Formats: sequence, structure tokens, C-alpha cells
Amino acid sequence: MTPAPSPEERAFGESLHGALVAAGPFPWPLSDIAGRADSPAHDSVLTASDRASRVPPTPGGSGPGRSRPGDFGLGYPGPGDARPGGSGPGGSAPGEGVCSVKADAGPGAVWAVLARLGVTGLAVPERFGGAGASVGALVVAAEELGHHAAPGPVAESLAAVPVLLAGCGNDEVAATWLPELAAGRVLAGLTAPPWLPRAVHGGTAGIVVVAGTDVVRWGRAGSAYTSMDSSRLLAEVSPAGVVAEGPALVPVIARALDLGALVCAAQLLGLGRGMLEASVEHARNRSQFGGPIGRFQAVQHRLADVSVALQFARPLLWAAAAAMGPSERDRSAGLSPGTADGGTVARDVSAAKVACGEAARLAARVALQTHGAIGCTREHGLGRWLTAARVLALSWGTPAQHRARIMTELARER
Amino acid sequence: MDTSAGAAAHRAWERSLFDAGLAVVSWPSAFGGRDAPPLHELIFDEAYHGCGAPIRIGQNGLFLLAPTLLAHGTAEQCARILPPMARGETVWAQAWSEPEAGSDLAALRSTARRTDGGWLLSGQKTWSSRAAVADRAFGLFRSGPPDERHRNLTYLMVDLRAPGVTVRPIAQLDGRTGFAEIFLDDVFVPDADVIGRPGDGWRVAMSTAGHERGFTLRGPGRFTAAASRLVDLWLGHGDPADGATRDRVVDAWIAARAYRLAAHASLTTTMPPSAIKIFWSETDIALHEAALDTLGANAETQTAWTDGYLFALAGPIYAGTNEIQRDILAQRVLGLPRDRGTR
Ligand SMILES: Cc1cc2nc3c(=O)[nH]c(=O)nc-3n(C[C@H](O)[C@H](O)[C@H](O)COP(=O)(O)OP(=O)(O)OC[C@H]3O[C@@H](n4cnc5c(N)ncnc54)[C@H](O)[C@@H]3O)c2cc1C
Repeated sequence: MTPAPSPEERAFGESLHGALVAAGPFPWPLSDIAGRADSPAHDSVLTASDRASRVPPTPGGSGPGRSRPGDFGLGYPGPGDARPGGSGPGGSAPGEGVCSVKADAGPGAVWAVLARLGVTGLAVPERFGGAGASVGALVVAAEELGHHAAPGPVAESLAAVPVLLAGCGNDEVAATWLPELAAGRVLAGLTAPPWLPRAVHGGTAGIVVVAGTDVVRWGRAGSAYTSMDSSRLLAEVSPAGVVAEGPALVPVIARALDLGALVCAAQLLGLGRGMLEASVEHARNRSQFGGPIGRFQAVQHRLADVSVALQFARPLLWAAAAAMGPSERDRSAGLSPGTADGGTVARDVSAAKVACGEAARLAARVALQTHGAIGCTREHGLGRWLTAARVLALSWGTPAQHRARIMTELARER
Repeated sequence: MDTSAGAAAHRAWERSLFDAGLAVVSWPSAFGGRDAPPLHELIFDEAYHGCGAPIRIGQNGLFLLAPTLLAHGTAEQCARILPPMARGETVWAQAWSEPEAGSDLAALRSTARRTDGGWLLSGQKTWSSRAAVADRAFGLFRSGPPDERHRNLTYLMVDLRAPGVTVRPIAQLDGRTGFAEIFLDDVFVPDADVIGRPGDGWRVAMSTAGHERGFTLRGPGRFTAAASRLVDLWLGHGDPADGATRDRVVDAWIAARAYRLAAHASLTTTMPPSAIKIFWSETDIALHEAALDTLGANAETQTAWTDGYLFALAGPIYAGTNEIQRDILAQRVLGLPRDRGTR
């Protein structure tokens, strides 16, 4: 049977979409964004003065006191500050003032919303305050976050770092930070060369982790760089105190990184889907030469190609999710089939990452072409999806790195 | 370029070029050029981009309006308009597109109403590159009833500082305000600033469009220079084991070389502008895609390559979308029938 989301996972994804539409940080749908005064600020993360005044995070022994609830170290609004909008009963109706966080919200504010929706705790085991959810639930959530072009270190903070901290065997660290991650009070940055040479939001995240092959360390954020995706800020990270090390960590780290790559692939699929939906909508509504541009075959065929690419990337994503096995609940001790014992995780995750990345890239090019000049403006908002797709396609392993890994695995399977 | 300080520096640079006799090598000497033959212009273009010299702030005027004036303008217009353009004193913007008239330019609604000694322009133009820092603009306006799509259009030049003009800069994907909306409210333009006959603007405009799509706006130097930087990038940062990316780098280099050779061939044989436009825009994207792939995970950091990539993505949209160019190529050059459509 072809792997697919369970009915519960599917329902979770739909409810998440609904909740993000109603209470999410960004106007929706994408095609309505044009011309709105409160269109999502592209430069949502930091102002220049914020960057200048940024205090490098203290590595190692920093206890939970370092991260006060509602304080991400940068004045991001915490859960208490993010006035929920239309999510609950009696909330304002969609369409008017539904943004529960300011349009210029950074990832910290987004995280507050995600915490309320139960997304931040998905990969955290129950005993540390999380949901210990299925890999499928995480994939569903990540696709929806991509669908909404939610900014922030999604794969790092929601997937890989929770798995690293839960499985590394350092109970003190796990007990200190996992509840914070689960509650969405802390964002985690991660570097793991060669896949992740720099940490997204490393300079502002509550914790920064450096993953080697058999060692997990804290990281110290150094120089910051702007990204092609202006909602992201990258930090150079130097390794600091050791969190845990030893041969037992090899499969834990491998699993954490594979889960991160899988979540990134899911985001890419969601980004592609969001761009296709917006493009179809635009092609229906934009009129030239006396009718909608969507009646031209040149436009139709390109959109049809995007649809094909997305439809055939999805089963690869779900096959990889299935290969990753059961939930994080059963893995808190760091047990993992990984690839060492003949599992197909590496191969399947890489195939999903390549296919979802290529589909999203095609979707981005076609979306821009379909939108014409309006898509080239910041005001419109398509650029958020487009640049996110381009940088995530290169993040968590480039297509070339994943293709090489697939061939290595195929050779091993002979 | 989109800030006033940046624009001032670009204008000063244009002035230095002019003083060195290099601003407009192919123009008649009467207007500031040196009567150089087309081959010399190509050589200049390659040398200019080869040494990493800046984008020309005056490009709309220099490469699009000037050839139009030389072909369709009066002697008085050429003498009045071309020399300050060559000196970088007058920077021009193009004002064709409107919110409802993109690919379908003939659907434009901005009007030119007859008045004493000239015309009153009203309406909205948009996506006008460099309009935020430009002095004047040229474009098409409807000077008669709209029922005749390609008739009753007049080609006019308008002062962007004139009363009734409002320019609203628009930020592009890289965050810079590379283009702008232009709102016109009864803006006076004297008869002397009509190019060609009133009502005959479409024909004149198509000659401008030919220059925009052809080798005039996008000389080969920009692409051969980028290809050379790309090869350096590969040699410095490429992973020798990554044959696929190497192939993309080489393919982009081949395309840039083909473009250069075609530009030289075009000195003796003509080439359809639609084919040229499709090729340069796709080549530009291929060059930047290959650079990002070469940089791999490090490509995300904002650099000239990422900014160039975001701009290159617009290439298949501006100067007439590539879909429209393919229609033109297929129907007018290859002679295929038009689909008049039952849908
Ligand atoms: C960076 C940039 C700079 C620009 N600078 C200027 C400038 O200086 N001055 C100026 O006047 N304009 C400028 N433009 C505007 C440009 O000319 C228009 O964007 C272009 O004509 C397309 O119009 P549109 O954006 O409205 O897209 P639309 O016409 O709405 O087209 C949207 C999509 O539909 C497709 N389509 C439309 N009609 C057909 C058809 N018949 N068959 C098949 N497909 C079709 C298009 O190819 C495109 O993919 C600029 C645009 C950009 C992006």
C-alpha cells in the first residue's frame, strides 16, 4: 500500500490550515495580498538596529531562566502578547483584522501562534511536555507551514533539535529545554555541516545547537548574514560546550537530520502547492486580450506541469515518512533504525527532498511568470513563497548532495 | 541606483563616460557620439561589462528612445533631447504598461486630450523602471476613441516633474524600488514632444519594442562577463565531483558565447527580436541558477548572485513576456496559423 497520511493526520492538516487562515500571522489566500496596506512585511525578522544590538547567546550552561516566557531575547512577542484573533469561538470573522500577530511579526511571534496550535510540541516526547506525535503529523504540519510560507527555523526548531535533545542522553539538558521548545517559548538554531553550514536565526534563537557525526554541542552565534529570503537571517556558528558525545549518538544525529530534511521537503511541497493555487487563481482573474489569461494554453500547460511535479513528489514524501517509522514517542531513548541496519531512510528522505525541491522550484518559476510584473513586487507577497522555495531547496542538503547520497545507498543495496 | 544618492553617483559616472567620449559611441557626433560603426559598439559593450562597469542608469533613453528618435523624430527633437541624454543630465523612464494593459498593451487607457499648443495627459502608468529617479518618460497615450485598438495612440514624451505628475516607487523582490507607478492628472505636453504623427504611435512604439527585445538593450557583454565570473566561481568553489552542476555552468557559458556570436552575426544578417529576447532572458536565468548551484548551501547568503538571480527571473516578463515572444516567433516568423480560439 502506498504510504499516505492517516485520516487523523489529514484532519490535523486541514484544521491547521483553517487555524492559520483564521489566526495565522499572514493574510490568506496569497492572491488577495496584492495592494493590501497590511501586506505581510517581507523584512519581518529584524531591523538594522536590532541586528546591531543583538547580544550573542550564551552557550552551554544557560538554564531556562535565560529565556523568560514571552521573551525570545529580542523583544519578540511571546504567547501572552500575541492576541489570538479568530481562532476560538467568538473570535473575529476571517477577513477583518484576523491577524493575531502584527504583520511585521518575526518568527518568534509566529512561534507563539504555532504553540497555540500544538505544532511546536509535535516532535517533543510527552514526558517533556510535547505531543510525541507521529512522523506523519509532523510532515502534515510542515507542509501546511510551507503552504502558508511561515518563516523561521521550522525544520530545525520543530523537528531536528527536539530529536537531538531528546535522544542525546543528557537528561538535564532535555528536561531544561524540551519543555521550552514544546511550549514555543524558545526557538532553536542548528548547524550541521555540510547540510546546514549556517544557522537560520542563529543570532536570535534561544538555543543554538551544532551537530557533528557523533557529538552534539552548543553553538555560539557569530557574524550575521542576510539571506536571499529576506525573512531569514543566517548566523555563522562556532562550536562551544559539549551536550553529549559518543558512538551512541551516531544514529540519533542521523535520525534528527533525516527528520529535518524530511520536514524541509514537506515545507517545499507546501510552498509549491501554495504557489500553484495562487497562480491558478491569478490566471482565472487576470484579464488580458479580452479574457482571463488562464485561457491561453501557454499558461495552462505550465501550470499543468507544476501540478504533475507536485503530485508525483507527494508519494515520495510519504514513503520517506513511512520509512522513518513510528513516532518520536518510541524513540526518546535514542533508538533508531537509521540507515546502519539496512533501513531505507537515507535513500527515501533524499528522494523526497530532491523531488519536493525540484517541484517547488518549478512552481516558483511558473508562478512568477504567470503573475507577471505584479509578482515581482514585494507588496504582492509571492516573493515570500518564491524565495523560501529557492533557499529551502538548497538547505538541508542540496539536490546534488541528496542525489549523491541516493546513489551511495543504491550501490550499498546491490 | 534607486536612491537619490545612488542615482547621483550613476549620473556622475555617465558624465565621466561622456567626457571620455564613451557614452554613446555609435551616435552621430553632432549629438555627442563618435559615429562608430555597429561592430565598434559591440566591442565597446563587451569591454564595458568585461571590466565590471556599472549598469547604465540612462539605458531607457540611450538604447530605446534614442534609436526611436533617430528613426522617427524630427531634427529639432534629436538636437534638443539627445545631447543632455548623452551627458547623463536627462534620465528617461518608459511609460507603456498600465494596470490593465500589460501583455495587451493596446488595451491602454491613459489619455492624451488636445489642448492649446499640445496635449493633456491623464491616467496611470505602472512598472516604469527607474521612474523613481528619472526626469522624463516616454510612452503611448490614447488620443482618440478606444474602439480602434492600435489606432488613435500617440507617442509622447512627458516631464516627470511637471504639475499633475505623481510617481510612487514600488519595491521589487530584492527590496529595491526598481520601478514605479506614474499617476498623471491633466499633465501638459507641448506638440514638440510628440514623436511621429499623432495617432500613429503604435507603429513608432513597435520600433522601440524591437530595440528593447534585440541586441540594443541587452548587448552580449553583460552575459559574457557574467559567464566569465561564473566560470571563476566554479573553479574557486565548485565541487569537482559534482558533474551535473559543472555541466550547467558549462551550458550557461555556451549560451553566453552563442549570444555573443549571434550578436556579431546580426551585423550582417537580421535576426527576429523575439528570438533574441527569449534567448537572453533564459540565458540570464541559467547563468544565475548555475551560480547558485555552484555555491550550494552557501548560495542562500545575499550576494550579487542572489540579487542578480531575483532580477533575472523577471527577464522572461519584461520587454514583452516570453509567451508573447513565442507567439510572435511562431506566427510571424515561422508562419504558423493564429489560433483564433473557440473558447
Ligand atoms: C522588472 C520589470 C521591469 C519593467 N519595466 C517596465 C518599464 O520600464 N516600463 C513599462 O512600461 N513596463 C515595464 N514592465 C512591465 C512589463 O512590460 C509587463 O510586465 C509585461 O508587459 C507583462 O505584463 P503584465 O505584467 O501585466 O503580465 P500579464 O500581461 O498579465 O501576463 C501574465 C501572464 O500571462 C501570459 N499571457 C498574457 N497574454 C498571453 C497570451 N496572449 N498568450 C499566452 N500567454 C499570455 C504572460 O505571458 C504572463 O506569463 C516591467 C516589468 C518588470 C517585471
